[in-house]
Amino acid sequence: MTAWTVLLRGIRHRKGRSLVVLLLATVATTAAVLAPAYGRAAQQSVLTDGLRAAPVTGTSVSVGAEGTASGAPAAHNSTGDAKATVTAALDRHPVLARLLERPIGGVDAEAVLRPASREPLATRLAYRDNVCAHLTLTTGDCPVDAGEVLVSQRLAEARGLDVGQQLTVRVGEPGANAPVQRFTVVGIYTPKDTTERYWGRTAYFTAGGPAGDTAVERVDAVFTTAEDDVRANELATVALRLDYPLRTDAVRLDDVGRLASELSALDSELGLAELDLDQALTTTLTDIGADTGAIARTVPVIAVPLFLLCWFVLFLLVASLTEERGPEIALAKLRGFPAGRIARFGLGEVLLLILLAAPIGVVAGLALVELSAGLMLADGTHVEVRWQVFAAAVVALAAAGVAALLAARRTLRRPVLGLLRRVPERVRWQAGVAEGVVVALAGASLFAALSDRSAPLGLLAPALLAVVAGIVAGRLLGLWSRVRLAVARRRGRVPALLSAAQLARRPATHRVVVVVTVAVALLAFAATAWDVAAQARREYADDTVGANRVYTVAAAHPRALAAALRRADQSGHSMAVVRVSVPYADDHVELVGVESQLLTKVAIWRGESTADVQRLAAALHPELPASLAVKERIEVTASASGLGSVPVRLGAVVAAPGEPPRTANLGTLVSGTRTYQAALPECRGGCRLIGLALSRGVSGSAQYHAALSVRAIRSGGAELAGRFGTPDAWRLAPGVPPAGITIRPGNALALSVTTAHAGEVVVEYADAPLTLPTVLAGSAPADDPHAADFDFPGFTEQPQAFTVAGNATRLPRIGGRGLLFDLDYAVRVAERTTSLADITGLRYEVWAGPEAPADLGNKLAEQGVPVLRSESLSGHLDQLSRRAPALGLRLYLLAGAAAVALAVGVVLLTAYVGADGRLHELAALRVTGVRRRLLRRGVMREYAALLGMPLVVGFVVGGAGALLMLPGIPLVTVDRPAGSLGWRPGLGALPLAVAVTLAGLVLTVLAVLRMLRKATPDRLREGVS
Amino acid sequence: MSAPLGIGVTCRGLVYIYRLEGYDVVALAGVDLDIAPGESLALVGPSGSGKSTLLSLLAGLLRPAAGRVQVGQYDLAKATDADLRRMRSTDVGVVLQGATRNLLPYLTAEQNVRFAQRAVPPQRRRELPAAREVFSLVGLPARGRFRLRPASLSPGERQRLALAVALATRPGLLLADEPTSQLDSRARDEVVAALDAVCAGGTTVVVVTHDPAVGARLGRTVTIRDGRVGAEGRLGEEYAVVGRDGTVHLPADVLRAIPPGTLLRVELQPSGSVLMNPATAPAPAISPAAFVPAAAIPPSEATLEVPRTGDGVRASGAFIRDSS
Repeated sequence: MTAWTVLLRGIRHRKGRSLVVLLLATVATTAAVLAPAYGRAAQQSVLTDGLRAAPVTGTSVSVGAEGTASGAPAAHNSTGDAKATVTAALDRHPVLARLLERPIGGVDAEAVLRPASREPLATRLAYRDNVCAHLTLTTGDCPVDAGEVLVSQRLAEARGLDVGQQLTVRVGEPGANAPVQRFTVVGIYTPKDTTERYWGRTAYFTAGGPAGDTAVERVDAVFTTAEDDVRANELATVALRLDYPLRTDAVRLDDVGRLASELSALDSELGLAELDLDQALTTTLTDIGADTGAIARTVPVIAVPLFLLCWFVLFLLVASLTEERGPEIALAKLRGFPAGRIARFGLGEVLLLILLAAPIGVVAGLALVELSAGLMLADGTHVEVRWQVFAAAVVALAAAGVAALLAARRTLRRPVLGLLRRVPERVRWQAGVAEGVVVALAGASLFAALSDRSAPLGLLAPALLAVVAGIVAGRLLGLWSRVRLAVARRRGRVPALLSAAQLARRPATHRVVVVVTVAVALLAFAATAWDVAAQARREYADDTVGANRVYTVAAAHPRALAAALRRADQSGHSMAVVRVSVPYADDHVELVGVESQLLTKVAIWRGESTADVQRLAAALHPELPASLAVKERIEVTASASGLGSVPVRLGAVVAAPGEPPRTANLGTLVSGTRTYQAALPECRGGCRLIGLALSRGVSGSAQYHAALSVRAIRSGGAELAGRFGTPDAWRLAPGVPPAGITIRPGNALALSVTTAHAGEVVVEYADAPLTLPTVLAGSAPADDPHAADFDFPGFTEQPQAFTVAGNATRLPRIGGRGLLFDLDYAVRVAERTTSLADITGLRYEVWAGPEAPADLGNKLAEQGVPVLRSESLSGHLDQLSRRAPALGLRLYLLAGAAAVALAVGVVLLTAYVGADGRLHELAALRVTGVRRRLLRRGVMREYAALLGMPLVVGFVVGGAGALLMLPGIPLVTVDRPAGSLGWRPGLGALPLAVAVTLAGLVLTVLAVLRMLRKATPDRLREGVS
Repeated sequence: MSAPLGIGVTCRGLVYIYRLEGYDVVALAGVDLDIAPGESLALVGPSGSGKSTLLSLLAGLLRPAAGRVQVGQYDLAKATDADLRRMRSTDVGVVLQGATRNLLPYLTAEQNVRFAQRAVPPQRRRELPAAREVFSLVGLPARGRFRLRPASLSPGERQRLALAVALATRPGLLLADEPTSQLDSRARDEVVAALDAVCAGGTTVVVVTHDPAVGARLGRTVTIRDGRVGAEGRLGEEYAVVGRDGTVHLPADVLRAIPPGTLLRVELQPSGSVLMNPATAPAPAISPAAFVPAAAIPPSEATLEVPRTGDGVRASGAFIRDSS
């Protein structure tokens, strides 16, 4: 028989306790392993998410050259030569070589194309590898030979181009005298996805607006499949680009440092070959590094208290078990075993179980992290098995060994007769050195936390304060128990006496109270932090996204967007939004036009109640008459008189959607009543009548006179409701000097003009507000920040009069600085002078509420409004939940749950260890006549006090710790501390934590009561166990 | 199994004091006791008289407060912890009260014996008897019992197993505390027979017991009373023991005839015996305060004081003093 036989038989004999020891030791090892494994996985997740979310320009690497043949010869080399040069360089940089995908080569140059008999158009003549695979050819085929090109559908429709037509192209800037090249259109394309990485950094699809400083209109790129076609003019500036997309999912944390250094080295090497390296990857990685760094700092802060708790639990565990084995250890001493053998005999079982638990704990920890990765982290994130994990397990094992030795020391040193005593010696708890150290540390950490919540010592404050609270609670419980014992003795109350005696005398009481208090406090802190952070994330997402879903789209002009949206969605739960960012005083002011009547159904506007939003929406859209719509022909019946020698011309100012306003000439006024008419061919689809214009019929500056009485305006076979009798229905357009001009309502609109004004005197139909009502967030962009009325550029670059209809702390999606106004009215105002289709700075969005169709994006595309990007509240929340703060808080929650599991295990084990003695005592009490009901009540009172006090103290301390620390901890993004907390109680992690903890402890008590049912008088017979 | 050499025990003025919270209890107030090697002895006496304390002292589990105790070659007052451990591993076997307290419940009977043998240094372990031999010494049949756990044995077998475990290292001294308590008569007889066999084997045996049958079988009984040796019985004969301060505990039947308070004339006879006659003559001049009416003194508390008169014990008178 060997020592192993005794050890293994002992473990089997105490299989229940052995299993609890194994489980607790496994949990402890799992907790130790969790920190490095989860921290690493979380960092990887943040890196992967960050790279996936970054724009193409932020992750790809572009190599190229740009210039003329003499100035930049490399730009005029073939893409194949450039690729070979770069490939040779990459061979010396293995990380880059592994992480960069195959390059997409492109050559392009500014060109001017001239369709037959048409004005010149600015474009980019472009070659790109395998371009046809990324275009949808609506007509024709992919170019095969030199001299063949593809043009965009937009260009083809706008300029009447078709397959087979010839294009004259001069490669070079507009105005440069470049040689002519002739190309044949062999296909018409639409891009499959303008946002895909393939297109790199070059803007190929930028139709509309002038090209640079010239008046030449810019159109989409013209593609050729022959590089030489682009390089034909050696004097032209040719851009050669090799775009290397990044394999974002393959980037590991260990690659980050190497990437930066290899990119720097590659830049130097390529410079020798006259190639430029263009990348923003290092900046992107630096930005992501802020998040990964935050995790690296947060995880140890969570790990240390959990590890210490695990260590303490192991200490208690070993102390309890060794104490229970006192009689066996006494036997070994009685037989004369030497001290070393006695220690092995007393500790061997526990140490073996701890050793066995180590690999199980490592596997469990890794499995838990892998499970967490699958559930919570970025797709494709897996646990990494690294040496740090095993080091943590070894440290945990070593610490467990030390804990075991320290815990068993007292029992092992007791004499034989002391070990054989049935009633344990009363232990006087004195302020030990350890308690003193903890209290001092807690004080220091509290001071640090109050000074700087982000200081590492300050971050430990909640855990240390929980330990102090547990120590104090344990002492108070002991004191209370002794008082209760004395009282119960006097009064003869058996249940109170039994419970108080156990609590006052058992050395395990204090330890259990500390463990349960700390565990509950950790969980309470974590749960509170989670709930507060979840609310903060929700608010941040609400503020950032602004609606349930937001689609960034491409539209010709605002009215086109609104019309397409009405066709795509009739539910009334989505609205068109147009935004523009206007520079002001070293910053920008965001202007956003919304369909204000849909605001309450669509926008998420934090800080404003539904009633407030309705009120603001009403203020943004005061009642105004509908615009007057005209078709292909307009007729104005009017009576003219008072005409002088200078002929006066009458015109109708109309605006087609997306087109600048123009004045249709109705003819020269003649005295008497007459119907003046004009054809409006551009108004086939409908135009808006902005007003009537009177102007000098001849050139010169002489004053002219006219008195006009407009009786009717007709178009499309119907008379327009001109509202001539309504005061202010017609007004002088802004910018026209009012002197000499009167407007009188009546049965007919009476206009009297006596002016020498050189321009048109426009009397506009008042279907747009003179000053645009706006909701202002932040200060007014004016000299007076509190101004209620101010001028500021609107959608056009012209100053627009705004009046503040309401103030808000923030605007949905915009933030704390911006102007929000009604889109329809803003467009009406802008259309008086400008075509909004020509404004390139406008950004078009569709905001959708939860009840809008789920496939709204597809429906918009079908209506000719392609979706460039889509965001959703749920997607944003999902992203935020994988940012560093949320990932750190998840680990906090895991740690809190592990802590409570440990505490429940400690309570159970403390009950089971020494159960024989306890059962013996209870059996003896039953034999003496104490009823089972009273004994049960005594046990319940005992556990109610033992667990109730730490439960309450733990939750209070945990919550207080959260109040102390959370304002200084970033809860949503790493660059923003929480600041003031606006937590609203609700169904979240905290109530769940309370419920689960309570349930766990109640179940524990029930398990103990069940065990104590075995306290029957039979136990008192010799040999019964 | 070769016969072990019995170990002798000598106690002189042995004192032990229990230091409890707020007060001290003198458990042994000067015990003088000699046990010859190979002798067997029963310690009897009322509860709380100090029997178990004396046993614990002999086992080296307690340190004497005063006096001397020699167990074989070990002076227990001066021995180190290592000496005491060594003594218990090779020379002294201890059986605690309650058989299960001596046994590891998860080891078989054989394994319990071998567990006890593991305390002996490896180089001496070869000399130890096999478990079967130890079993046979205490009358336990090896067949059918070897591989059973203590819980599966009968109470008598369990107690004999406890004896076997204590004898596993072939000690010269066996100390047993109440080996027959909580046993029925048949089991008790089995245990007593086992003790007989052990005694016959040459081991010095000291047993604390309340069982007169055990005392009778061991041949010599020592009564501990008030922390001292009060009486001894040998081969059925009961003897009073003269304490070092001259006190003698009278047997109960004598006290019934000569109640406390009785004046006795103690005369040493030429044969060496001592004659004690109730005095009819006036008592010697002694302070009346020293006399207590005999009726007030319970018999068991009566002590005969024999005044010393220099060399020899010729006394002209004695009286019964209340020693409570």
